[in-house]
Amino acid sequence: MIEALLKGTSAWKYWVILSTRTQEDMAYRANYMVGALFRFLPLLTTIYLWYAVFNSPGYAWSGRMGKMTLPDIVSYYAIMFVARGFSSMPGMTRDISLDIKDGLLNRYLIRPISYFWYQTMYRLAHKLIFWLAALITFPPVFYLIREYLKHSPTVLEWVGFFISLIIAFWTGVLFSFLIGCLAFWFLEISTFLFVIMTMEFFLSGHLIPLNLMPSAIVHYVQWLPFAYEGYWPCMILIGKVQPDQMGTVLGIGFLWVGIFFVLVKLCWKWGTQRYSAVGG
Amino acid sequence: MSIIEVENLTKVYRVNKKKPGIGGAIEAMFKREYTEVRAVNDVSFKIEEGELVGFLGPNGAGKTTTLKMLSGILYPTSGTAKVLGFTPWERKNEYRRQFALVMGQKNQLWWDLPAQESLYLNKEIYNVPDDEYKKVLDEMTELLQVKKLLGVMVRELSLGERMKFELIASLLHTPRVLLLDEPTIGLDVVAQKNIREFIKEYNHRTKTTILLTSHYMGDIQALCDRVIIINHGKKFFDGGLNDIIGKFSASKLISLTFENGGVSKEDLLQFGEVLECEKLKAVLKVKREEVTKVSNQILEKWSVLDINIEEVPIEEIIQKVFVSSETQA
Repeated sequence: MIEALLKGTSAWKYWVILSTRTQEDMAYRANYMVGALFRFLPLLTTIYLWYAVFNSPGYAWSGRMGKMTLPDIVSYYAIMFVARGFSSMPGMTRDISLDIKDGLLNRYLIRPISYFWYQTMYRLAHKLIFWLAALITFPPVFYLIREYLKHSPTVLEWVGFFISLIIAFWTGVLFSFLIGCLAFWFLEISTFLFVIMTMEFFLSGHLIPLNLMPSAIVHYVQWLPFAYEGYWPCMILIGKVQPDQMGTVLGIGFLWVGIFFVLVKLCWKWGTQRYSAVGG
Repeated sequence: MSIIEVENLTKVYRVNKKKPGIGGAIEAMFKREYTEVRAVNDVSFKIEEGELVGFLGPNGAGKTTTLKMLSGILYPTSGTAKVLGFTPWERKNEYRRQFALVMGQKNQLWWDLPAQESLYLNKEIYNVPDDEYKKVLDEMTELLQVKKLLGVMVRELSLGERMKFELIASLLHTPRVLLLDEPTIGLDVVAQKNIREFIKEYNHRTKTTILLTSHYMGDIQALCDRVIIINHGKKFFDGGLNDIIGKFSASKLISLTFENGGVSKEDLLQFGEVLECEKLKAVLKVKREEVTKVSNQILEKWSVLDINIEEVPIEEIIQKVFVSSETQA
């Protein structure tokens, strides 16, 4: 069906890249199976940690931490796991920076393809594999924590959530690509990467929900692009975004995606002009 | 109109210069010194359709940098280049569909999949029609004897086999211009010969314009009638391979097999430089204009079973050209 739909268009070659990459990902069966079966472990450990915090003897138990209850927190992390499954791009920035540093970019520059779309398809293939595995392993995990998943999302929240996942994916891809392009100017960017990834981990709300921070700080950081990589999809689905806020939240997300698209285009143009193709 | 037209092409790199040792490293943290390296300096040449031209020069001469500019990987500092009427560094897809660059051992094959998957991917990237793909793939895998290896994981192939698939991947879209950078580097003599014969046959059959760099003179001798030599980024010679021999080799080699022993090195020194002198065999290096005279004298003086007059090996001549270009640079 996809062949009938895409063949003959310029999208077809990117579909073939995606399918080739998927095959490559599946070439190592043992690695794939272990990854597929144990991906949920970090989620369980995080939930257990928060369970311990809420039930610690020294904690003045009020059933709330800031605006969040334990069911809110558990739901938040369960959804965070789904959202980060869309927005995190493991290895993308590093791969791009090494392609630039070691001159491996040459093989893409000489062929009639877009390096950006090549990288995007490469990551999308990885995501497909991830979700294929998640379809098997996530349902039992969500079943186990079902008593904490109290909120029943409205239709608007479901729609907003799916749109926010699209924003999360594009923010992740574009931001990773942009940081990788820094190698055109600095060549070695591993320290930058460490700092930026730590910031991203924190500011996306992956480490702790952003709304647990002082409200003066939340007021600003929630509108940064990082928040769209995890925080907003979670907040939408646990019912913490009011219907009249939804348009603003998603609108600003799309604005960031647009800004990143322009920045990626400019960085690529300037970067490839100063690219020295060393060693390639 | 020429297929490749290069005019005053120049590429200058800005290179960080660090003093030696830990002191130099600390100093470089605060103050960096840069120096300019002219990798390609005002190079001009033209190549006609169907030509197979050797691009020679010692390491760091600027050969690969030139190829990178012609393939659009690098922007030049100044000068112009047109390949098939396109400016390469504009990177138009229409241009990229008509040329290929093969850089020895820089693979475009996917390591963890059989070669056929990478070839299929290239087919789709270059938009090669199904029947043409099948035809070209059949022909090439036959010619390079790798048909049976199409389904083998790339990581399990030998270096020579991978190089053959690299070539096939680069030629699937039947490029009109082929830039080959050290295509036989690291290969054993048999694989070198196979690749060499393939390139010759391919050029002959398809009339593809080929620019080839190689450090193996065997490649150049077997394939190229014309060579361009550059050193320190500057073009030093552009002409027929035979012209280099005439221009830079003032001597020829006379190999002799005597019927009887007793001819000593001292006896032969009067004729020229004695490169070898064994019991019954000797090799002399004699000035080109004296070859006939010296041969006659030797034949008159000793009983000779066999005499063979050859050019000095091309490696030696090229080495001389490089040294000569060093002094002129």
